[in-house]
Amino acid sequence: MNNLTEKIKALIVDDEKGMCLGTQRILGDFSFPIEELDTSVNFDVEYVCSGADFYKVIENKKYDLVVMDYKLPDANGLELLEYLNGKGADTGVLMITAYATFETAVKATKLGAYDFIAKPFSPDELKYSVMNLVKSILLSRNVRKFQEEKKRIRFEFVSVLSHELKSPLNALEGYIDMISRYHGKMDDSELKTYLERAKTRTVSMRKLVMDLLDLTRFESGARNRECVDIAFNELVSESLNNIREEINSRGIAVEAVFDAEYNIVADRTEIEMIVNNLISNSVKYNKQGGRVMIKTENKDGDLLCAVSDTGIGMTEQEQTRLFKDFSRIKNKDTENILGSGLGLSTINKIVSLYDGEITVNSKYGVGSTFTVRLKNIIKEVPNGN
Amino acid sequence: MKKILLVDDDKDFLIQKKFELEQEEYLVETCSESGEAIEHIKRFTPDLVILDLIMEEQDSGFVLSYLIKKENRELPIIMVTSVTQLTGIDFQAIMENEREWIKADIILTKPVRTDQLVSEIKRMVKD
Repeated sequence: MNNLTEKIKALIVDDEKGMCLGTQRILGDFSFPIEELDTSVNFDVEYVCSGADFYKVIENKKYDLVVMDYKLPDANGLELLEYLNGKGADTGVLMITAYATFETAVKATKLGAYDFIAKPFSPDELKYSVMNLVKSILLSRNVRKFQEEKKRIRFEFVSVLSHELKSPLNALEGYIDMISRYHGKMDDSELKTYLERAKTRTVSMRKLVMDLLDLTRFESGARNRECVDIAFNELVSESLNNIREEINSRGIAVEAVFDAEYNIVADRTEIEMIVNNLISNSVKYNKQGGRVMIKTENKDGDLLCAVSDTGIGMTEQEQTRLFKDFSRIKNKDTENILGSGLGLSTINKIVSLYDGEITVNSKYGVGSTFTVRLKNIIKEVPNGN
Repeated sequence: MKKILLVDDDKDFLIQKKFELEQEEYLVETCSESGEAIEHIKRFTPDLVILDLIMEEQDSGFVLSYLIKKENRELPIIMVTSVTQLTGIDFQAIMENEREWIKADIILTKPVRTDQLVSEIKRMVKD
């Protein structure tokens, strides 16, 4: 199925008007798909019969494709090609000549002509060469677009990152300035409060740096992934044990429901990150004395793990930006909770490595459920599920 | 004693500026959500408002200053922001037409030095 159509603006340069008209007709009726780009291509064809006219039209319009006669009465195809290159035009050139020699072919291709066909040529020969040329132009444009997009995303990431790093530094600097300037006017408890806040910001900055390292490790693919057998239920229990202290101090009741013993094949670090992150969030963003419920099930060989809490929840608008880098929900409920805004975006990237998905269902003030689905990673279910 | 309301979702900024401005003999209250600022102003009737640009949303500060000026044209507003560092977009509220759309009387870049802040407040709020 071709969803898009790409109209290629083509220019024919030939001193024989009959040739121009013939080529115009052939290309005008020609269309073909490029599967890699999910695009079908057709042509909008114009022609000029002299070098002088070529220079005129090329000033005012950009062409994707030029089909050019090498030998014109008032110019030489190589000159025109050179001129086109000098303009830095993103145009593919197909050189045509009745005087095809090896030498001109080499010269033309050196100057950037993509292909070379000799007169007389059949419509199919022309179509074949044009098709290859257009594919090459569009694919390389696409690669360029992709690279530019990558650059833009990187720039955005670095801008936001520097802001995120600067803000704890600003806070720390603020406390240092304030204490050095006014310490004589502070009582001990005030001083203690300010130092504790400064300490909190230091801790949160360290967390940001650690999370950032995790994220880049996963994103760069520099980590060696190692798929091993993992007892998933045990991994969940370990994760709970790791934050037992926080669970207890906040009086949170945890319930883990496994309808079977789940053995999965996956990278342990990745699965730990997903589970640790979801469980830690369900505790962090919970209310005092709240509940956390972890439910695991086998859905057609996919592992489904849902972590629910009775916490602060999110509005719909807040949910939409949840998985973006550095996205933090900022309000009164979250102002004392440490977070880098990178946890969920990292999980999201890991989950995609398993061809899976992470979804959220949340209600402001009521709680949230995060569900992770990891495709085809269940090794065996002894209970015969 | 002149009254100042600080609006920012950065808790530390609120703590620091409240303390520092109190040392300079101002009566200071703080508000951490832009949505509550209008009500807070009605209750507290400050002589000047200091607000951050980016709070819950990228433009929370713009929206809030617009709402404040709509209700109370004469209430001076100082907008503080690190947005110029963040985006490289530079904007000021010096010219009349800039103030017309930004609706703040002055924009200061974070981190804001207290002496600079105090001198701006003194310029805008006469004893």
